[in-house]
Amino acid sequence: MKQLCSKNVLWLICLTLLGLSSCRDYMAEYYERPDWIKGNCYEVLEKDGHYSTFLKGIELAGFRDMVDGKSILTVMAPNDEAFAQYLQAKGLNSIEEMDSVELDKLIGFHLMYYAYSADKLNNFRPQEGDDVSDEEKRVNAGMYYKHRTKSKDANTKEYYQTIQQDVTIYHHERFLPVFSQNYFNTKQIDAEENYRYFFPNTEWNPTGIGYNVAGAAVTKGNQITSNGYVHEIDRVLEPVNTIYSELKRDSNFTMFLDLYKKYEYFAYNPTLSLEYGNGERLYEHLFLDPMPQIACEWPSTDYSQLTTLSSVGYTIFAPTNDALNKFFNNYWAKGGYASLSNVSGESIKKLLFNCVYKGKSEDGKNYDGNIAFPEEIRRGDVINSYGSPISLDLDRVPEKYRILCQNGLLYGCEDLAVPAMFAAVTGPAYQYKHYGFFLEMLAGLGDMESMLYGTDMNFIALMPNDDQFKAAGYQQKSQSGRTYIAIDGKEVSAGVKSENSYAHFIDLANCTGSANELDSLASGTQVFRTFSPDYTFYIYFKDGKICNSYSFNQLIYPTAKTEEEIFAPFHELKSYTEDGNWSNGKAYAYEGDLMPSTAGKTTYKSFQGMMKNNIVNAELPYYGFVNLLEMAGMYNEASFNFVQEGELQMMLVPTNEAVFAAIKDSIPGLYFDKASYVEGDDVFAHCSVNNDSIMQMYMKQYFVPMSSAGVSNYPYLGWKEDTSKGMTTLNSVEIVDPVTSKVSYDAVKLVITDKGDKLCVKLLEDNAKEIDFCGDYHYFPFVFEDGCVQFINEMF
Amino acid sequence: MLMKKIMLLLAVLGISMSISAQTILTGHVYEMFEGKKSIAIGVNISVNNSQNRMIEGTVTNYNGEFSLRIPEGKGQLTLVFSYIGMKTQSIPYTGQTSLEVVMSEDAQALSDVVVSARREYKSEMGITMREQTAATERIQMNDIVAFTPVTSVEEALQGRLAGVDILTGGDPGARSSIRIRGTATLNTSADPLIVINGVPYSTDIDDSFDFSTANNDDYAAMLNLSPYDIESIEVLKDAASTAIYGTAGANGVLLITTKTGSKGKPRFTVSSKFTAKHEPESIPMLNGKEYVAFIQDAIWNTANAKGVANSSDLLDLLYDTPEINFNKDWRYFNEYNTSTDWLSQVIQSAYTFDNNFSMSGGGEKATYRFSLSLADEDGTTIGTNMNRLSTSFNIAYRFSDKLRVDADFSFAETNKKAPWTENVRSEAMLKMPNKSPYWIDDATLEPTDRYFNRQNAEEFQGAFNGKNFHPIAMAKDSYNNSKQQEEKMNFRLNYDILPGFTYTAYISMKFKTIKNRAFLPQSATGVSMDNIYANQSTDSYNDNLALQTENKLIYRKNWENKHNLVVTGLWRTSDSQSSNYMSTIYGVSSQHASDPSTNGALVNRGSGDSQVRSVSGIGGLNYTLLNKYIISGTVNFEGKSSLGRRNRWGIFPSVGLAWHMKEEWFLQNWDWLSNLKLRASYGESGSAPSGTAPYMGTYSALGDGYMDNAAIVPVSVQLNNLKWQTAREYDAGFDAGFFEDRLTTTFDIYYKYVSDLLQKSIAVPTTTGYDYKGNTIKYYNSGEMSNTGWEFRVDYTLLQDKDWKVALNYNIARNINRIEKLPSNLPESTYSLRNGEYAKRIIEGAPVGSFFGYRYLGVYDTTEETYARDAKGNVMTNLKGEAIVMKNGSYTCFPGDAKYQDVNHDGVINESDMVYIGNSNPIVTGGGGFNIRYKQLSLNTFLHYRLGQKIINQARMNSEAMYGTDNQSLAVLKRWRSPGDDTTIPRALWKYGLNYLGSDRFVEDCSYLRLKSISLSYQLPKNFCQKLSLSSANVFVTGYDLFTWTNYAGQDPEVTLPSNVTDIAMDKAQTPPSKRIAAGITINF
Repeated sequence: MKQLCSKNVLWLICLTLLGLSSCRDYMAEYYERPDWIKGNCYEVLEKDGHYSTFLKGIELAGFRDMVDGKSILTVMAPNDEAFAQYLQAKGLNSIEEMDSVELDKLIGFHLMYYAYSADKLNNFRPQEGDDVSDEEKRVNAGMYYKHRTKSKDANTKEYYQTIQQDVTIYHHERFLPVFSQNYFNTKQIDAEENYRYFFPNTEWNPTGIGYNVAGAAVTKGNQITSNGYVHEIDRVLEPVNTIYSELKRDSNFTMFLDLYKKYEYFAYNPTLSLEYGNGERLYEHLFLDPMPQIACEWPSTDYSQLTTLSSVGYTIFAPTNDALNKFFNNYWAKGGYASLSNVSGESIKKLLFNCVYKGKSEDGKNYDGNIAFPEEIRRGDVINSYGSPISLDLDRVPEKYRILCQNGLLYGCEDLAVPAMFAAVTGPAYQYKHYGFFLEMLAGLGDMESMLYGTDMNFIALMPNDDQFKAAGYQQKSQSGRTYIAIDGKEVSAGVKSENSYAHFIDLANCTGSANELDSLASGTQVFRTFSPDYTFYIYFKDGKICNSYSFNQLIYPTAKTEEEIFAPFHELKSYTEDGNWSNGKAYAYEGDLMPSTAGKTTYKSFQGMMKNNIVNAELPYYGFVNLLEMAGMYNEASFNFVQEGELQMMLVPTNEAVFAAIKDSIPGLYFDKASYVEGDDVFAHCSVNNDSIMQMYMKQYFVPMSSAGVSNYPYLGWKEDTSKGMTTLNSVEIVDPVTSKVSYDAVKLVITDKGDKLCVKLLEDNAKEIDFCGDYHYFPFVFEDGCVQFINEMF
Repeated sequence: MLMKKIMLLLAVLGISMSISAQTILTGHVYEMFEGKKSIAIGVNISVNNSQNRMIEGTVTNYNGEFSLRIPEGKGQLTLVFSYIGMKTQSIPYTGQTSLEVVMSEDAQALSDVVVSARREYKSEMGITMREQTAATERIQMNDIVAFTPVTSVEEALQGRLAGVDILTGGDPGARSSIRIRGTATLNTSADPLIVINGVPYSTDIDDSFDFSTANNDDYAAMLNLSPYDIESIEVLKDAASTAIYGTAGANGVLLITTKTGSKGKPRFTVSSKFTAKHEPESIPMLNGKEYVAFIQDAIWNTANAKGVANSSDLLDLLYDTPEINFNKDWRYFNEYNTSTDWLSQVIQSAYTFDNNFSMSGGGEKATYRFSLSLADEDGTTIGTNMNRLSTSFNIAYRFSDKLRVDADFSFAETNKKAPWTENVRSEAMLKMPNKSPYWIDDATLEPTDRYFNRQNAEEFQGAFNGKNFHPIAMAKDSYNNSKQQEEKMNFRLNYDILPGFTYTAYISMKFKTIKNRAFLPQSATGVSMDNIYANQSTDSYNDNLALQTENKLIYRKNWENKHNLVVTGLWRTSDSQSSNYMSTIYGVSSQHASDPSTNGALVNRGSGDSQVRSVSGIGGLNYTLLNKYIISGTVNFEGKSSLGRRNRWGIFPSVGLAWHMKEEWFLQNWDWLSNLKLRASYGESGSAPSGTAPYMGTYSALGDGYMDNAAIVPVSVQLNNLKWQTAREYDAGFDAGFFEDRLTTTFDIYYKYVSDLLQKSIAVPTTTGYDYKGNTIKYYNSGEMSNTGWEFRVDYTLLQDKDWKVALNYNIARNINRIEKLPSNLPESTYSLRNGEYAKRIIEGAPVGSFFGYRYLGVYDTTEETYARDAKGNVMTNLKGEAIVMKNGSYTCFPGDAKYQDVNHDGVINESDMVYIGNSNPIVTGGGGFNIRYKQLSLNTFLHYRLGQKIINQARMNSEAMYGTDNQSLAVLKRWRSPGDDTTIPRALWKYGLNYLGSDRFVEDCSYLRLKSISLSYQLPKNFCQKLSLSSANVFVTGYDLFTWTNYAGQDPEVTLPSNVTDIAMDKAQTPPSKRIAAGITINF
């Protein structure tokens, strides 16, 4: 019994021990790492065995933790062979010999933030989520091609002129450009040709995966790991730099960079300083708008502008020093400038702008500011901010100067791409030092200036030099480092600038004259309308001399000038090019004063005003006409009461002779006491109005409102307007319907005919007599603010 | 005060004796020493009357002489000579004037000091175990407490009693949940009544006691009682047996009997115990590296799901959040590029000391027991501790054979220390592990001793908002300490009026105060000093006075062993008064100057008073025929102040039958059967709502709110019809003994039906006019619930002889809970389609604690899998013929997203797809163990099991939700990343998608079998003890909670149930019970 029980006890103890030993830890089991989990990027690379140098580099650069699971990454992994080539090219025996700062940059550049599969690299969609149709995905496919990496430059120092000391510049992380077939397809350019323009030694898309990294082809893409993707590449990627640092690095671009730096400024960033300054004040190296931010790694310093960051880049066509010098000698030196640093700021700005492509936005494409590949340039798609295509002999860009940068593309040009406005009829203003005032005026046009140097239109440009401006009362002033044009001590307004600019350009397409150059007009007359969109302004040529409609008015001023005083000589300005031609017409220098606002300074802007003020001056050619108006009661001290204020009128003013003749004959509503009149008397002293309303109606027919005239120019020889349907005057006649006795009014119309050697006018009615225009003024219209004046030889 | 009264009483008795007429008796007393007579000094001599009440007494002097006045006119007198270690001699007084007495040695008393006299235990109703008709179970605490490192009674009882389901917490002093025979209520307390030495232990905490910082569970902590002082615990389960405790016992009763003194010379026991605690492994969390990768993955996935450039907050996280990126130039780069195991920094291996001293003894007239115990328990979470000083003094004085008076005094002080928030561990678990707890020295790259508490709105995990604090600073520098003091006094009087007719009465007073002080240092939160959480200090105080009285008459009569009658009547009153106050201020200068009177700014303050009273009259009758057939019945008539006048009084009858079958002639010959008793009972019980007077309609002044006039508005409805929640319970069972009771078994089957369930805060239409402050009525009787089950217990002594004892015990219980009826106005569920949300539903036909949610089918691996399918399994298409893709709520599913069963095949996962997915009730619970003794060496083991219950593993859910900034468990390393991944864990998303809806994915079976204790003890040899002048000594070593067999993937399958029974049972990764090794020694002398 006792034995039995002892056995039982032993059995119990054994059972207990057995139970204890079979204790299974389900919690530990649940949290065990299963076999199917893929290794992380580091493990995958390590297991493969062909990346030992790269892994060594990762270790040395301190990225081991990240690659080994700490971050979600996309690794562009060059294999050992690629690394060996790289090191050999650098003259290094092993990766350990690399400078640690350079190594950090190099390795970091192969590590992209977050997981990009091949699909994503082919067509990254920053704005659309998972839930997007294939159709939507095709829009702008491939255009978001840059992805942030872990590579970053250490802070650098730059000299900040304003505070006269060095400042510390913060640098952002690099973005790695990955060009997909989609990218080139969207741009409708050839992928291989354009890619290889920059990377001639790299095969395009050899494995058919659809994309190449900047400078390397993908040999084994899309390897899934537990913390992202590994894409094997055939070359070690050289970390891309900013356009600024590329320019700075090469002494061939010092002149260009110096010019560019005229726009430079530095912005203190308190947030960056606090978070990353470690006690140092951090600045951002920026350039004034509209110069692209070539010194900043990112097109926007805001990390949240992901679409911008992943798609925007600038294209800089930087002339080498030789190119700049060559151009200087051929252009500005001839224009009177002693050195490049003296060249006017405006010219330099235009030159710089012509070297810069900020990208364009196109309808239906919501990416903007993408870089320009050669095919796009050749195709003429690359338009600078002045609206003219940047043209460049791409084959002449040396291979070493075809540089893909952090923030765009750099084409280092051994020929300067000449800005369109330099080569167009605006050229003299940019080229010659003594057209500085006029250049300022032109610059005041802003975007409108582009019309003046576009090749679509042909112009005659008249160039007023600084002396002419000064003679007209303009001064150059300078205040806090800024120079500007002033008149009467005040800076000229944009309106004055555009008025002056437009008044000196003739758009030949808009002119009816047959000749398109002034040199052939040594004799005879010619009228050109100037390129002024919102007012009417003419240039008159007579016997090889020039004047404009404003100065021409002085012939009928109370203190009249003679034609000899008004008309001035001119001569052609030849282009700097070999053939001497400007791209869109001819340019001339002139003497005298053709400033529109100079005329504006005179008392008489308005013809009606001038008449009013000189009603008693019988010497003036409109004396008779104005007195008739006065008698008809159409003039009441202050103004003429029958014209709409501000309305342009074509005024046909009968000469004094015509008036007197008509009075003597008969003027409706006016009684002329023929009996008492003695030749030599004041005609008007013998007149009295017997029906003022009839007389008023009669007088109104000498006024044709331009708004209803149906013509766009004032009449002159060569006018070529068809007025056969009549131009409505201010006069109207009462018509009584014989049946209904209903009264209606019908406007009195007149017709002006250009007979080649003279102009004639007649009322549009049966048997009306044709009256000749007065030929004393070469049929040139007098142009005032209230319309034009042509004298006629008879009254209706 | 009361002591004085007793002294006064004794003095009066003394005086009354001295005024009687008297004669003098003189004499000598000797004792036999080595066969010779020698004088005996100090022998007690008393003159007792016919009721054995001492009316005169003296002691022998140095010569063994005595002189005693014998009062006259006192009837038959007896002279009693007694001395410790000697046989007491009684000599009738027959007018002797001198006497010589020789004392003889009491062999028994000398041979074994610990005498366990077998006294027949009688219940409160005066009936013996044999006469009982109800289901009770009784265990002796001594064996359990002596060798196990338990500091609470709940822990000691766990698994030992069939049908008593106990779940314990891991922190010192943490609340345990106890359910006897399942949950039988929805809105009243489901905890059982505890009765100590016959007096209900009031744990009433008023509903209105709801201080923001006070942890209610602290106040409900079961007992301020050292387990060492407990003699035995009995559990009363069915309504028939709990009837005598009135409605308070509706959830079952635990009867605790404390140790008392016994006659004999003074005996001392000293025991000391040392316990080392080691916490089991917690959920393994991601390290710094894995965390950063996971967060980046989540953000990147969401950014791609929503469109990277479309959300500025995502871009900010992707590119401008250096905490989770890698930028060496960043100023906090070092501090955010570590790998910190935060949890390990707030947990510790803890130690517990438990020292006890007791002294007891007494003579014929008086016995006493004094005990003092001191326990100091450190928690495994830093900053947690509990220490308890408890002392008790108990005297029983037998005035005469008829009159006995008992007085118990006890005092206990429990200090509980805890951090300001109980979420230190959970915070540590969710803290980003790449962050350093301390500033890093830039030169050495070593952590300094300054806390790195960058915790603001710019920080990745955000500013402090209850969450987001520094766990280590919180554990070490904050506190939420409570001090409970409890003084208890019981006076009991027992008077045998006539043979068989007894009067018993007690008066019990318990005074309990709880002082709570909490301090939240700014260093833990990193908030600015003008924030209310900056150096916030709370002071609160709660006191409770419970007065209870009972008067009881018991009549026992036996007619020639044929008829036995026990009639009982009792009247019990109870009154509980509480008051409390609380104040919270902030901006105090330091924790040492955080008193509410210091110059802090006020955050909150409050105070309150409450009083609850009840009276009950209970009558009982127990009749036994021929010592075989028993019928017993009770009627409880009880009133409670929390019910309105109309239904304040309830009558709760019970009746029971028992049959001692073994006594029948047809079983007399079955020798192997030593005992067989069949029982059946029926009883009713009630539950009343808590609070002072929740039925009362209340009104409020309304300023000038009624058409610009002052008005009074009704606030709560007068509930005149509110009534008792009533339970009816049927119980049947048997007790059987075999082989001279070496094998005993007990079996019970029961059915408990609860009607008029108390529903709380029921919404009523606003048209009732009660919309002033929430249109609800406080309580409402409606609904029915049942609990059905059985219990079985077996005890088997395999072997017992001089050297060996081998005994086994085992118990098992099964309970099935079911909601039978529910009122139609009870909303079926409160649910909205959200991650982590389970529907809180109580529905007819399902048990309380049921879970409802979605069926989780894993992860969509390919786009084809995401296509919605109809009932036949065909892909559903839209009008264009394109496949319809499944949606989780409004989110279109993509590979890597969670796949739920589309129950109604509509292509969208929403509420209509929710199904029943299990419940938190165990199928069976129980325990068992064996004790082996060989000579002085004994090995005791005990196992506890709960099988078949489910739990929502919220800790796992939160740690693999992959939704926000929280750190996650290693399970997320298995997250879906690319097609072909063999996983059930979806892809990581950042605050996006519905990938962790309340589904069966997180419902786990947390069945377990636990080796509760294994203990080896050694009784030191007797002669060795004698050399040290000890009567006995014992050393032991015990392992506690060492092994657990479970398939549960959480840190520990023992998860305490929510105190609100309708809440969903969830594992929130509370401190798990520790593995403990204890060693100790017990010395008796």
